[in-house]
Amino acid sequence: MLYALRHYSLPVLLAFAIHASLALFLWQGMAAGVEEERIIKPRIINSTLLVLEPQQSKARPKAPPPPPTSKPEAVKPEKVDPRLLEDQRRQREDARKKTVALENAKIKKAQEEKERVAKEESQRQRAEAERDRAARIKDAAERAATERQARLDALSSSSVATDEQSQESADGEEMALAQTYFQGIRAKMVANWSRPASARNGMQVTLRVELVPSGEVVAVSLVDSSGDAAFDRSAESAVRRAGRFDVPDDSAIFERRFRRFNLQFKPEDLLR
Amino acid sequence: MSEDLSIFALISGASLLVQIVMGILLIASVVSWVMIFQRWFALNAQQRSMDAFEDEFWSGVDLRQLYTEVNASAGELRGYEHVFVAGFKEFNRLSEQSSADPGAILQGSQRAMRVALNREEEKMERHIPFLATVGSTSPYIGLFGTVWGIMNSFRSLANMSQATLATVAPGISEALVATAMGLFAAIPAVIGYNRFAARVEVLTKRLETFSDELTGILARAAHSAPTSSGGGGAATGITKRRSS
Repeated sequence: MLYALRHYSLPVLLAFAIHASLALFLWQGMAAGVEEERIIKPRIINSTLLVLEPQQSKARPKAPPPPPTSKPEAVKPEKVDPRLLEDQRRQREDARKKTVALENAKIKKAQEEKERVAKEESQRQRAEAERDRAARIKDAAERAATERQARLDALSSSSVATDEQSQESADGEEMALAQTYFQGIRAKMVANWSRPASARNGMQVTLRVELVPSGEVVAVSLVDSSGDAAFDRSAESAVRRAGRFDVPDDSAIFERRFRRFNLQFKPEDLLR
Repeated sequence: MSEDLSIFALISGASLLVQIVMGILLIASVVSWVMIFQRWFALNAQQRSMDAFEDEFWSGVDLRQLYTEVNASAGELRGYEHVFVAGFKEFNRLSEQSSADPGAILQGSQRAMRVALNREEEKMERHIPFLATVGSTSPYIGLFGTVWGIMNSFRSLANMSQATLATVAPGISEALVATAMGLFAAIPAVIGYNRFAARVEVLTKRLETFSDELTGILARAAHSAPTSSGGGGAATGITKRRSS
């Protein structure tokens, strides 16, 4: 027992130290890996911001129109105010004529109440107008973004939404994620597709599909006909009937790949 | 998508059998490291004591004096000391019996030295077979855990309509931890086994050489002793000369 203690205590201690340090190293290494990922993410956000900046400047000329429409709304309640003040004055005169101090006070209080309500309402209206205006500006910005995206898409020759950003980031993981969603989209089209009699193997139709962030289809158009009008129509209606596709929650990926994309349709891969 | 894939999450998420395999491998790794350190210290101490004894032995000191010195020193005998004490004790005991002839005396002391040498070798080789066992089996144990884990992850995949890489990847990486642990246990064990086996062989060779050298010295003494005073004084005039 003593022999064992004398000859084995140090080795046991060292062995445990080695394993503990390895475990610590692994833990730290994993933590470092996670941090690296966190560093990468902001870079992606930055790049989207860079894209958005020129759009805002483009959106600004469009923004001014809303204020004129909202300003009258905001001014109206202020026009009500003088009328109220006049009312008040007239009533105060009436009160003085009657010389009933108590009544006067009561009326005054009521007036004040009315005034407060009016003021609150004007404030609310002003806030609403402000919100309205902000929404309209945002809308304009979004429209500009989509327009720009469309132009970028037109520039790029590949079939599925590509732009400079995707080349820049060259993110394999994002590609894989997009691919799974595209597979889901194809599967849903298969489910909603009714095969026309004229469909033949080897046909291929390219559709341009536009989605909104919720995944709803807003527009379908024919980009490249298969040569058979019935088949083209059936593919188009399959997309329309599907109505809604699953899209990634990540808005950056959605904007880059799903806002509008080209979808290729071949009868043979739908036969399964 | 952003699953927790740290090593510890993988281990805690694994199935019971894989966890048992991982536990076995962890224990094997810890024990083999204990053995590695223990052998390392023991063989270092052995070599040091052998170097020290060799220096003393060939420094020209009288063998009888060396014998009493070694015997008086506390602690267990190791290496050369063990062989020397065993051989010399037997030689003295036999040469005290006047009837014994030199050949019988030498054979007796040689036998005693051989026994001591075997004991030493056995002591040096302790735990080394364990390292060999860990080194050769733990990759297989780890592989078993991995195969089991991958089997399960593919079986669960069969129930899914849409198979993506993301659904299999966590299970596979979880299972691969077992192989990693098996290799982590095996590599140091194999290295330790090879290194220590070679060292034990070298030290055993040195012990064998020493026992031969001592036999030569004792033979000279045994053949010269009966002509001189005989009996107890046999070893007093032993002169050491290296034969090589």
